[in-house]
Order: sequence, then structure tokens, then C-alpha cells
Amino acid sequence: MFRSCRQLRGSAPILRQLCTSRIQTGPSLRFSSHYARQHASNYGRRSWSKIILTTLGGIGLIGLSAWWVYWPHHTFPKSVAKILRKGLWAESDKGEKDYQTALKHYLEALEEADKFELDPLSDEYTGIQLKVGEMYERLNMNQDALMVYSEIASAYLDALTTPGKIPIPRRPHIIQKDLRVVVKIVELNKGNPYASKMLLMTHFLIAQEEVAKRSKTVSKLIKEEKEQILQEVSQQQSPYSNPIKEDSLKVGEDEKIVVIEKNRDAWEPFRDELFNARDLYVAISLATGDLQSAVRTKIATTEWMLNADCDPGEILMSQANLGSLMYLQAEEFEAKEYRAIKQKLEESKIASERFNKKSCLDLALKCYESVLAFSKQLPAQLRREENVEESIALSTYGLGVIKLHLGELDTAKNLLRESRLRAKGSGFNDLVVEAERELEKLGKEVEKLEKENTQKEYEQERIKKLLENKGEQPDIELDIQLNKHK
Amino acid sequence: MGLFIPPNSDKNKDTQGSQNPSSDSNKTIFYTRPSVGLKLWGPLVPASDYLPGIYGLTALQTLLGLTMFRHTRIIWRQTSLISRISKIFSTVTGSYLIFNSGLEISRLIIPYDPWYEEAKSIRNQAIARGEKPNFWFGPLDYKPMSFKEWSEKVDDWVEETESQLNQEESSSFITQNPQFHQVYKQIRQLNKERNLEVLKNLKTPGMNEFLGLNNSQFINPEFDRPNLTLPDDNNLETNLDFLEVWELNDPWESLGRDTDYVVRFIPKYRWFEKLEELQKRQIEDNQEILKKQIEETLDEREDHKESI
Repeated sequence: MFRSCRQLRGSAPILRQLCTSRIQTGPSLRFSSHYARQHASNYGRRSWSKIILTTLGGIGLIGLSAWWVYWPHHTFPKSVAKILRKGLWAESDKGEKDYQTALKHYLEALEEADKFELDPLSDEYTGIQLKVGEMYERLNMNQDALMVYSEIASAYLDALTTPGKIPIPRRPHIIQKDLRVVVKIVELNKGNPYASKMLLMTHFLIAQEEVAKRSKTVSKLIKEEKEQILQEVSQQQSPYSNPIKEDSLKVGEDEKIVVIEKNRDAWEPFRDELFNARDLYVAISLATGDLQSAVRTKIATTEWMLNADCDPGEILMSQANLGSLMYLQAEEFEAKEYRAIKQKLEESKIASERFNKKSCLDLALKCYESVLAFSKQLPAQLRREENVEESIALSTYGLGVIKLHLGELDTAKNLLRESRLRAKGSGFNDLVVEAERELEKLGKEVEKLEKENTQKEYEQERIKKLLENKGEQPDIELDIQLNKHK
Repeated sequence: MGLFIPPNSDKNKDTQGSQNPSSDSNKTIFYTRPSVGLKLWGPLVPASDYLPGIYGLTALQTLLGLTMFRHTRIIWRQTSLISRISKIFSTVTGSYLIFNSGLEISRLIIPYDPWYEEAKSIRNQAIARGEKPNFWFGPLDYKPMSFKEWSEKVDDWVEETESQLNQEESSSFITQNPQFHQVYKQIRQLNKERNLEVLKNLKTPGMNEFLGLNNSQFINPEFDRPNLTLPDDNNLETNLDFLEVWELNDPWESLGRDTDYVVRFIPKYRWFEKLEELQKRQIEDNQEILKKQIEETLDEREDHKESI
């Protein structure tokens, strides 16, 4: 309409008048029908080109996405690819699993890649390195494999700490790979737990810093922990203290009621790798007798796992493990209490150890109980998942052990029996064995009580007994299980 | 049955909230999903974590606004009363719609959205409980936080970010360290030399024993990664074949599977059975000594008696 009017405007004033007068006088219905007709004719004229363009665009889009999905994304120089092909063939079932020949080809491929100056940080280059490492491992040349993996990890560490070396969007993927390789190094470097601990810590701190950068809410959580670590590192041997804050365990109890902020995106894509590395760190800390780091790290990890929106089974297992650590810590405090009494220290010191022990036992109970309470709220289908079942079995067992410690023998018996049943049900065989052993201990305890004709014995009795024995205390024991995820 | 409660009507909410469970537990109170610029749509607003819905609705609203403007432009020259009113009406409504879309978009541009986090976690919880929340509204029975709470959270976040930006550089634990680079260079050099050595040995027949590889089929028993299997139709003849196999057996994926651990701690009751046995034995020993002593004294006495 406008267009036609404008055309008229230029040509003759009379016509323009006519046009306007017509609009003014004519009912609006007529106007709109006129407009519609013109629009339709315009549309008809253009439609073919539009259809063709749309179709072409659509085909292009589909093609692009198909290419993205199906076309291999690796780009090796042709000569490198050729050598790799030989390596893969030698290694495969069709090539009779000849790992030596495969190793030879992979080493050649690495040389060739160096000639082409392939970026050592690229997935292609590190991929060949991993293949070399794998062949070394298969041929039982673990020391060489360790060196290859160390090269990758040190390259990543160097690049990740050099600003601008890795483009920001690529950093998370490098970190993910870095954590995987570091865990592999730890696995191969079993004889050197202290080095493993430092390595793990250095690399997961980098990952955590990345998370902190991306989510401001998480950064607070992470910063708190980091400051503690820094303190510990600077003090070397910090005095043994109760590392548990009252509020650190709130998470498990009322998870369902309180909506905790979840920032899954901030932790991805290396969420699982990070928690995996931290769990290993906890295990190694325990193995080297550093219970304090173990407990602190585990508490933070459990808290973070909630924030990172991990699977319920993983969170429950983490919480159950935390319970076990708390029990271990309680035993540790009891040993100190015993020593304090033996050395005839001031009453206040003995009391403080006793208080620490008590609070640790309470926290352990809380941990285990929260696992059981929370698992009850899960839908049946989730409750049947392996790690949920295992967490329930482990928590039931843990409660049984604590009750045994506290002298509540009947309750302990029931709990341990239940845990044995549950462990059998979920195929957690090691726990079956442990539960049986604990039941045996319990049986002897009951026997003894009957012989001595006394009532249930409580905490103080235990210490007294230890003192009466005069000899050394029994060892504090904990079974650390590291299993590969099936 | 859904029961619609308009947002920000606190009186309503309280009375309904307290009466509802007792009177009719089947009714769930449905609260309008929160937004800044989409209020016009009332209960139709999608859950804050359903971003396609929110963006789609915002786009629709913008489009509606633009259509209104277009309408004004089309009837610009008409001067009848109806068209004048229509012009004013559509201009005002159009600007209102577009203004609101602008508000919503600028809200969505902020990288941190408490409503989004809330809706997402609630949706995930519902899924974990085995429910199937509506894709558009999310779980029906939750009450989103009010705008006031939302803006408080965003304010906190802004302040935090600000303070963080100010001290970002100073607090980094692992900073650039020339040592890292040196270590890397050293390891790389060592590996290069070692690789050449191994390669040379592998190429020379009869040198396998030097490397400790007397058996070509020797397999590290601890290394349990499944062997590489080629697809039936793939004989690694072309570059494409190679890429297919490489992608199927991506070394990084294999490593990821290999390094995924389950860690479990099983505590044990600290027990002193051994010590007790010792103690028992000691007591028994003591008793025996005592017995002997008594016997001896008794004997002595008897001797004494006899002598008397």
C-alpha cells in the first residue's frame, strides 16, 4: 500500500489526492483487503527462490551436523597416520597382538610427528604418546611407561600455568586429560606415595582453580580449603587438631529439604576426574598416616560433590567413607587419651582428647545414619544401583562397628548381620569377610561378658582395660579399597 | 489439579498453603514461574531452567511487539478515530512488549541466575526421585524464590565477583613457575633418548633380551585393558579405516576408563584379644606361682610340725 502510494506521490499531485481521499473515505476493510492481495502477490513471486534457498540451507545444516558427528576429528599428517596404521594392526587381534612391533611403529610415529612439529599438547600427539605408554605397560616396562606419562603431565602443567599458552575454551579439556594421566602416574609409581601425594595435589589444585574461576559461588568453598592446605604446607607439621567444623556435615542430613545451590556446569567436564583424584589423594594420605589431610579432603570433597550434582550413589559412598574416616579419627583420639592417662598428664588434656573422641564418634554415627536415611528416600530403582547398595551395606556395617565400640552388643550384632546380608546381596565380598570377622570379635566379647558375669561395658571400661594391660595398644586398622570402576 | 496462585500475593499464598493440605491434599499449588519481562504471560511462563522456552517466549513477545509497530506504520496515514486509537494503542503496547523483552534479555545475559540454579536442582531432584517433571514447567509443586530474594542473590554475586576481580592475581597457589618448564624439557629430552635407544634395539634382531623381552607374547598381568579388536570389515587399508579404528579406541577414552577408581574405607573395631590372652596367661602363671608358694609354705609348716 505504502509503496503504491509513494509511487503515486511522485507522478501527479491529483492522483495523490485521489489516493488519499480514497483511503480517507473508504472503509478500512477495503484497505486491508487491498493490502492483503498485494502482499499475497508479492509472496507468490518470491516464493520459489525462498524455497530453494531454504532447502539449500537446510541441506547444508544437516550435512554440517552429519559431518560433525560422523567425520573423524583427528587430523594426523598422512605419513604419521600411515605408520600408526601399522602399529594398530600389529597390536590388534588380527595382527596377533605383537606389542613389540606395535611399540616400534608407535615410536616411529612419534619421531615422524616431531619432524612435522606436531603440537605436543594436541590430542593427536599425546594420543601417540599414550599408545607408546600402553605398549610399555603391556610389555611390563612400567618404568618407561611412567616416564612417558610424566612427560605428558609435565607438558600440561607447564602449559596450564603459563598464561595464554592454552586458549581458555580448551583449558577444561586439557585439565580433564591432565587428571587422568596423573592418576595413571600415581598408579605406576606405587613405591613413592609422598611424591604421588604432591603430584595429585598440584594437579587437582589447578583443576579447582579453574572451577573457581567459572563459578563464583563455588570459588568460596574452594578458597577456604586451599587456605587450609597452604597453611599445612607452610607449617609442615601442624599440631593435631580436630578438623571438623560443626556445619560441615549438614549437607548429608537434610539434603532433601534444603535446596543446595548446584553448579554442575562449573565442574564439568572434569568433575569425575577431579573427585577421583581427590579420593586417591585421601587414600594415599591415609596410607602414609596423614589422617588429618585425609579427613579434611574427604569432608570438602563430599561437600563439593553435592554442589557438583553428582549421582546419589557416589555422594552416598563418599559420605559412608567419611563416616569410616571419622571412626578412625575417634580411635586415634582414644589412643591419645590412653597415652595421656598413662603419662599422667593433666586432667584437662585427657578430657579434651576424650571430648574430641566423643565428637568424632558422633560425627561418624551421623554420617552413616544420614546415608541410611537418605537412601530410604531414593526411588526403588535408584536404590538398587550398585554403589547405593554398597553404601548402605558399608554404613550398616560402620554403625555396627561403632556400636561394638560403644559396648551396645545386641544392636551391634543385628547391624553387622544385616550388613553381611546386604554386602552379599550387592556382591561386596570384602565387606562380607570383614563383617564376619567383626561378628567373631563380637561373639568373643559376649562370651567374655558371660564369663565375667558383668553387664555391658562402656567406653571408660575399654580404656581401663587398655591400661590394665600395660602393654602396647592394639593397632588402629582400616581397610583401604581401591577398585577400578567396572 | 493445578491451582494457580498469582505471584507476589503473599496473603493468598499463606492461607492457601496452610489450608490446602488439610482440606484437599490432591491439589498442588502452582506458582507462576518467575521472570522479569515475561510477566504478561502469567502461568504460561516456562520454568527458569527451560532456556529454549524462555528464549522462545521472549522472541515471541518481541515479535508481537514488532507486529504492533508494523500495524501502526501500516495505518499511519489513516485519521479516523478508530485508527487513531488503534495507532496509539498498538504503539504503546508494542513498546511495552519490546521493553519487557529487553528487560528479560538483559536479565538472561547475566551469567549467574539464581532462578535457573534453583529450578534446575529441583528438576534434578524430582528426576532422582523417579518423577517425570513437565518439560515446560518443571516439577509443579515448588515455589520459586521471590524477585526480592533473586535480586539479593544477584547483588551478592556482583559484589563477590567485584572483590574477586580485584584480588584475582594475588591468591593463585600454582603460578607460573620456570621450574615446571625445565622439568618438562628434561623429561622430554630423556624420553627422546630412551625412545631412540628402544627403537634401535627393537629394530635389531636378537636384542630383545637386552630389554628383558624374552617372550614376544609376554603380557603384564596387572595391565588388564582389553586388547584392541578391529571391526570385521576393517583391515586398516585406508586412512579412513585408520581414523575409524583410532576413534573407536581413542587412547584418551581408554585411559579415562582405566583411571576411574572406586575408593571404599572399611573400618575395624580395635580389639585386644592377643593382649588379653597374654594377660590371662600372666594371671594363670601368677596363680601357679602363688599355689606353689602356698604349697611350699604348707610343706614347710608340715616339716616344722614333724620336726616338733
